[in-house]
Amino acid sequence: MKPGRAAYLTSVAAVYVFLMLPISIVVIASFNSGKYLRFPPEGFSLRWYAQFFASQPFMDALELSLVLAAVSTLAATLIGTPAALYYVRHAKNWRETFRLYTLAPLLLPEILTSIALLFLYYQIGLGTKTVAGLYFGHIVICVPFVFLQVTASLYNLSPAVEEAARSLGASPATVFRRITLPLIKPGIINGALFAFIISFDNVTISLLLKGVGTTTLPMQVFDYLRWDFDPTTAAASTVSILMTLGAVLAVDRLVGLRAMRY
Amino acid sequence: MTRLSIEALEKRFDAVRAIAGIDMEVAQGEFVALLGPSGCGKTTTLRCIAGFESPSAGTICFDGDDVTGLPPEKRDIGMVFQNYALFPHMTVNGNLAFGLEMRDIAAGEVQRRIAEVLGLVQLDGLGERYPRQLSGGQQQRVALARALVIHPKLLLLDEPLANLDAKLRDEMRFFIRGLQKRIGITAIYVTHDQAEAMVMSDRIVVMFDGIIHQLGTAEDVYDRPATRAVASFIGLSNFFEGTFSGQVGVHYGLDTALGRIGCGAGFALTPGQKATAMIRPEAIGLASAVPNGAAAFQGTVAERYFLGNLADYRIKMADGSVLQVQQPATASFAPGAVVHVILPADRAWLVRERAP
Repeated sequence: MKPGRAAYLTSVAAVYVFLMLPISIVVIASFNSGKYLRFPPEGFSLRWYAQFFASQPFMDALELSLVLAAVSTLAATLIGTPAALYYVRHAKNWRETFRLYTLAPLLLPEILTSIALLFLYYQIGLGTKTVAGLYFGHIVICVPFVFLQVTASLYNLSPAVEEAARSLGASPATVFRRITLPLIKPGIINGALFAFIISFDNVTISLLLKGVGTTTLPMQVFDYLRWDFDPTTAAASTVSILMTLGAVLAVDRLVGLRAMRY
Repeated sequence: MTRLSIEALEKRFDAVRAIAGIDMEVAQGEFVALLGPSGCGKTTTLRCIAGFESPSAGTICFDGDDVTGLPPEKRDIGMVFQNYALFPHMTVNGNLAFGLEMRDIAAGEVQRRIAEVLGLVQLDGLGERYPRQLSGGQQQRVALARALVIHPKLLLLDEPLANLDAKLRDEMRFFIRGLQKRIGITAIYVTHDQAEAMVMSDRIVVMFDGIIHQLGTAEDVYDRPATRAVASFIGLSNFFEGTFSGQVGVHYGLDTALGRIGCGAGFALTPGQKATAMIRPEAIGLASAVPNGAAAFQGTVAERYFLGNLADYRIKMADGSVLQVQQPATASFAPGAVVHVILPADRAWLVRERAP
């Protein structure tokens, strides 16, 4: 093996180790039978999973996080996709301004976005008595991810392909349904996956905007860790990792990750 | 088989006039090339015919029916794009079936037509492939088949060979031309390649800066170019500026710095008027002795380049001008040799400085 290739493989391996090691330690720790979150674990047990699933606060938080992520993903996809189409194909003089505004939630520190939204909510009388503001905040930070991914896939799609379909007798609506949409589908799916993951483990936005008396899973884990140091949080983290993986696998099942090519 | 008429076509993009008034008639089954440098308006013209651009003024008629306001999908055209523009998520069959499905053609007929057109473009058996599994030339033929399978009124081609390598491009010229003749479809072909335009078309439309400089056969534009721009763009030319001196026999006289040369003309001039004549390098004769009868001008061989079938000379003339002359490589004049340059009056041609 050439030294260059060895260095390359080593660095790839290092990236994997640094990314995966903390995660696998959390997963292993969640099966600990002892009373404290520690590594290596003291024996095998599923008791912390039982505790997690039996805990009403954790279940409420999990449910809110899942619904929140699903709704934010759907909304961000429905907003981000047309925004990308507009930006790439139709925006003329103000297209860079438009792009900047759309990406602003990604470019600005999230804490600024959430403080700004909080001010806005109190200004318009929405406050944080309901979860509406939380949903809105999550949608705002998810849109740029869909926008970026769909924009990239639109740049790869030559306008001539759509024109060819027009010349063959397809109306603009048919062209969108039969040509454009299938060809930007990978970007939409990628963007939606990003949106789901961003929403599902978001802390900053949720911290300020969550409604009174409600909480998301990452917030609940955080709150719980302040008073208890038992492996329930490791179980919660493992479940949330599984949820994220589940989202990826569900996409694979529904549309096929192989469909990512087209 | 459709007749295309374009009248007073204009297209402005903001302040820029991409097409500044174009009139042309294309007969049924005719193959017409739109030729010109980039930015001359040839592609915009094609896109107006296709319906992708709406003209600022003028009309476009297919067989006398005004289609100017129709969207592309209602025009019944087959179009071939420079980068093929195949649908990457569909097989060859899927690509070919698309236009037929838009026309609600029965499944059996769709199959029959696809098989027929695949045969025409010699791609039998490749129907299940995806575009990415095909070579550039094959993709180009699928694009051609996709445009033809719908039996369109017009075949529009936008530099379809520009992305192919030289050898394949040569083959495809004859292939496309042969296919167009066999089917008898009216075709408009946009290219910036003069050789392509000359080999393929019945007539050539030479455009500069949004206007037509000349519309004629390959012989017309090569031997009798209408303007200096046409002569420069197509093939090589020598230009002589001078004063028009009136008719001399069947030809006209032009008094230049070299002396009087005879030439033909396609437009009326008055004696005393400034004019420019052009002559192709291969039309000029070289002789070591003063020839009988023909007007000859003395010059010195400055440079000689061997091109294989031809020798390319730079001849320095008495007035300091340099002529480009091409002769069969068999005759050889060495650099420094004094030669007599013959400018045949029937090969010299007066050109306008600007489009009529």
